[in-house]
Amino acid sequence: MGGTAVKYEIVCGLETHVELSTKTKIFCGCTTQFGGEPNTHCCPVCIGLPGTLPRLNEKVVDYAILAGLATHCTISPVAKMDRKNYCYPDLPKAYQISQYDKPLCVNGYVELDSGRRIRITRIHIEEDAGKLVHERGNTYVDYNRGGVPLIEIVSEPDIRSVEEAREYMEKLQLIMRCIGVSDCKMQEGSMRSDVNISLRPVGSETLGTRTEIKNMNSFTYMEKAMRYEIERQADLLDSGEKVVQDTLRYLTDEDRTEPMRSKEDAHDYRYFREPDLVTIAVSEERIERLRSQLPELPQDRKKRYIEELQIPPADADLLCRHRRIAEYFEAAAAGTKNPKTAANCMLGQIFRRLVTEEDKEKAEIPIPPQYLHDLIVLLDEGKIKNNLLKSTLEKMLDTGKPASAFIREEDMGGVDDETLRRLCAESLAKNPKAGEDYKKGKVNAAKSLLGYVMKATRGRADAPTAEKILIELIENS
Amino acid sequence: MAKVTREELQQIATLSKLFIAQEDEEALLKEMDSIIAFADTINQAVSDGDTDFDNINGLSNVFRADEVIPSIAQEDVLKNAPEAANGSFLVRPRR
Amino acid sequence: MKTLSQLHDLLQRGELSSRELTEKYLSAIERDDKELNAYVCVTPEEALATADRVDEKIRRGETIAPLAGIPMTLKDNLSTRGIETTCCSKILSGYRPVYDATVWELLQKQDAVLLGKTNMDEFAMGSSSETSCFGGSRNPHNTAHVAGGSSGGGAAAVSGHLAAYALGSDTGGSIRQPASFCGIVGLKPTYGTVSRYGLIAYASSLDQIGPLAGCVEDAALLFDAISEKDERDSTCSGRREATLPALREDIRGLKVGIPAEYFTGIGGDVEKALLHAQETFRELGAELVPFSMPSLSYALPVYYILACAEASSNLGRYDGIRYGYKAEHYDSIHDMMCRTRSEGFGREVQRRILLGTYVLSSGYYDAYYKKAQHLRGTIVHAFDEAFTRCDILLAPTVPSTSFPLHFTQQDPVLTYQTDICTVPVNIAGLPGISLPCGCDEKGLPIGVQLIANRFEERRLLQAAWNLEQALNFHKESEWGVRL
Repeated sequence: MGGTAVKYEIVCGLETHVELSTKTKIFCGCTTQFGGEPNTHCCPVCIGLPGTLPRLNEKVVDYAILAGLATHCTISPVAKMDRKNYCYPDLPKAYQISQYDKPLCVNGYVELDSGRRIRITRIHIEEDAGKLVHERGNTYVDYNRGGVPLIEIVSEPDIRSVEEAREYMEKLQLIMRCIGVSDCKMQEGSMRSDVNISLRPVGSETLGTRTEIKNMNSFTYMEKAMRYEIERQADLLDSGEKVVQDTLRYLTDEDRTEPMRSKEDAHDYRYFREPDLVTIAVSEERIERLRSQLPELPQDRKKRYIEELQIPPADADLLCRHRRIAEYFEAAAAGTKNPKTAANCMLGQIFRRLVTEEDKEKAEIPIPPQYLHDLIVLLDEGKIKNNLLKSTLEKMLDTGKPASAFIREEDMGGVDDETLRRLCAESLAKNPKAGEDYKKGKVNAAKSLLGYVMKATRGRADAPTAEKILIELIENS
Repeated sequence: MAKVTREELQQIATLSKLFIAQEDEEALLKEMDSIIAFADTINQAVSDGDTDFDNINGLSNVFRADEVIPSIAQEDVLKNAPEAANGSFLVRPRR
Repeated sequence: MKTLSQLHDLLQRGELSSRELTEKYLSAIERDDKELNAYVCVTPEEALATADRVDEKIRRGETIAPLAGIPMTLKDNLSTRGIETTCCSKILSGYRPVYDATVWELLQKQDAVLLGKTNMDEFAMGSSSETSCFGGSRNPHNTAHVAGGSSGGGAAAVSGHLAAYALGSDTGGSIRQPASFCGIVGLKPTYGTVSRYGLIAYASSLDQIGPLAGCVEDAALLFDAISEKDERDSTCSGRREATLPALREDIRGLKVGIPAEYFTGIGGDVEKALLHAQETFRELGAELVPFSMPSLSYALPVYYILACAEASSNLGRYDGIRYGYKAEHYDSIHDMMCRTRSEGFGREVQRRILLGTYVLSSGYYDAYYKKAQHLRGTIVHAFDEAFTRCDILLAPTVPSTSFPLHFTQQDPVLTYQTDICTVPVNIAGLPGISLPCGCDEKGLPIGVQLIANRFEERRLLQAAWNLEQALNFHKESEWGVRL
């Protein structure tokens, strides 16, 4: 540990599995719903009964192409499915139908905030495996998840730090959610990454021996696992030992990695073309149709918020993290004088009510964006003041009612000079003692006079102006 | 053409999830050698570049719409299971 | 012997009841199958229930379907709901599917009467049906000989009049070879005309379901009945046209190709019978076109490499967890899987799994699997070329007549060689038919194989029907049902 003369550079690539949010599985009509009693989302096809055949869900192809387009990939005109052979109880056919040498998407990238691009080698479609539950030496097998469609996004080893790995994953999550192909719920395993990691002395061009940490489905654990693994590899290299190429699992309780496979799991996947499925020919028309369905991507949106709407970068980032939030914000801000007002409402009053990431993703806000828009317009038109905006918004969010439910007609609009003078005079007349006190030098006495005016105008009066008039009246009396 | 070694045979058996008993090894090696020698005759064929095989009838884009078809009953899923419990297929150690 | 359409007419007119017919078949099975071993499972209750339903329809004056009420059988690798389906392997013992194969669904819609499931080589891997865990089927023409394989049970049942027809599967000759051995008609349709849904896979890119029947007309009727497009099989687009309406059209001017490679090593009675078939074609007004297809010399190893590669993957799923046999004792899941498979699969199946794994494994993939896949393209191309010059091809089905019992259990490669004439059709996805064209001096049937281009079953069956009528080769057997 520590004290090492050699500085290492981290070389890391991710293989990210994203479960697609289609209604049905990739090769049969069973539902993809998460959970359910074991083996109730199954049919002869997805439990691999002898003689059954797969039927490819077209939506899976479309979603994968959307994912490719959103990550700047080239879409392959001709793709095919292959069998990846390995025996494991969670894999009912003893092969996973996947794509080997002709994936749907190739050569894309994800851009980090630093401007660095993490290249994407490929995106392919495949089926998920079932679930094993080990209990007191018994193994229970549930195939509900078996056959749920996945895309695997494979990055080049372009990642150079733990932080970059996290940012890359976050960006992928953002993009996939934005284009609506996956909910990317890490806790349900619908987004998970295998992390390939190796070290090399800074300045070196050759790659070190890598290890692969499997199935990271939490940002926090991914960071911890990477840190542990980096340190472990650095220690090995420092002491002149070799890193052994291996597949590792991360033990969350002990915060360490350990090799996953035993000798009997020798693997050689013996890929070959899936003879039960035909070629996938992706036409230009299909690509263009899908391209036209792509929403504005988070990165582009953020740039636009900063450049066109003058939203501070940090705020823009928060607004763009969830597609529904961004869309809500834009609907509310559209046509208002200063988009920052809407942004502040979103990040203030509204975000206070959307505590978790999941809340923000769902973006169940009690009022439609139009209500917020209407409220901001009142401010823009000078009809209400900022303090009234905030308190009214709170009430709106509490009740789901529009601003008009809390702001009466007479509340709106400024108070004209004549009325203001009349009310100031009234205030002084009702409380002559305050006027006397002020004259005697008790500056605070004016406040009580002002309070009357503000109360009478329900806060509409411009306090400094009213105060000026009051002082004038006292001094002239 | 290389002969199949004992190690290779065991490696293939492991991948195939098959045990090869010691007493069978010799006979199986001989059989494999003879079959592989037979298979190897294809390597006398001269390749012509443009005949790679795709699928026999050149079909493409046979898809299914993303519409739910009711699953079968859990009872039917497990009907043929040698062992089942808790609605799941079960494997438990038995010596 | 009655054709299927004659049986249909008898039933429809009420001259024969389906129950009567079914009972005759069931008692023939009872009497003769101990010797033939064609059936691995007989379903008398289901058969009679269907028969009664058909008889009731006829009594009510309904028009019944062409195959209604006619007793038949299915190869044991076709999935039948609730009826044991084992591929004649210990590893699937006790397996009762929860769904029906598409072909069986189609036949049930016609009220076909299922007598039972027929014997086969384990997972269709073999040429004699002797790799079956139930023992081999015997040839009705001479029970010291095999019925052939892998659809040996179906061929023995039809030939021995223990069923009016059978459905089998053909991956490298498994319909045509036993049809040839048993003196009946066997049709392997174009890949993708008959749905494979519910056919327990041996080699998915080569497997095809087809009929074993008493005559070409029956085969045509059956082909038309089962060659429907099926959305459950992505590779199945169905037939292009029905064959029966054009069956009797004459074949003057038909160009019959004679590929030299099929005839190397063919001699004796088989050669004589095939020359006679050629001569008959000429007399029918067809033109014989001798030519050469050098790439066929690689067909056999190409077939075995590809079939075994796919089989090694297809058979991975038999692991003792979801269905079938499970080892009694084991330490771990891995151990359970290995024991289950080693105890459950027979030797030939294990050999082919090992070979398939070998040719796909890294280091050998390019030399074997990839090369074979490439040569498959070459062979497809050669057939495409051939069909620009001729309409159908004529070849032997098997270089010999039926083997004596246990002949094939010695040298595996020697056994593989006997498939030399049947595998090219599977490699190229073509339709092929075998029909009887003579007998050897022992009285064992000889088959002639006709081959057409993809989806040209109509032309193929026309040629076969004309040849059959002209050859007038009808062997009355001593077995089975008498009407």
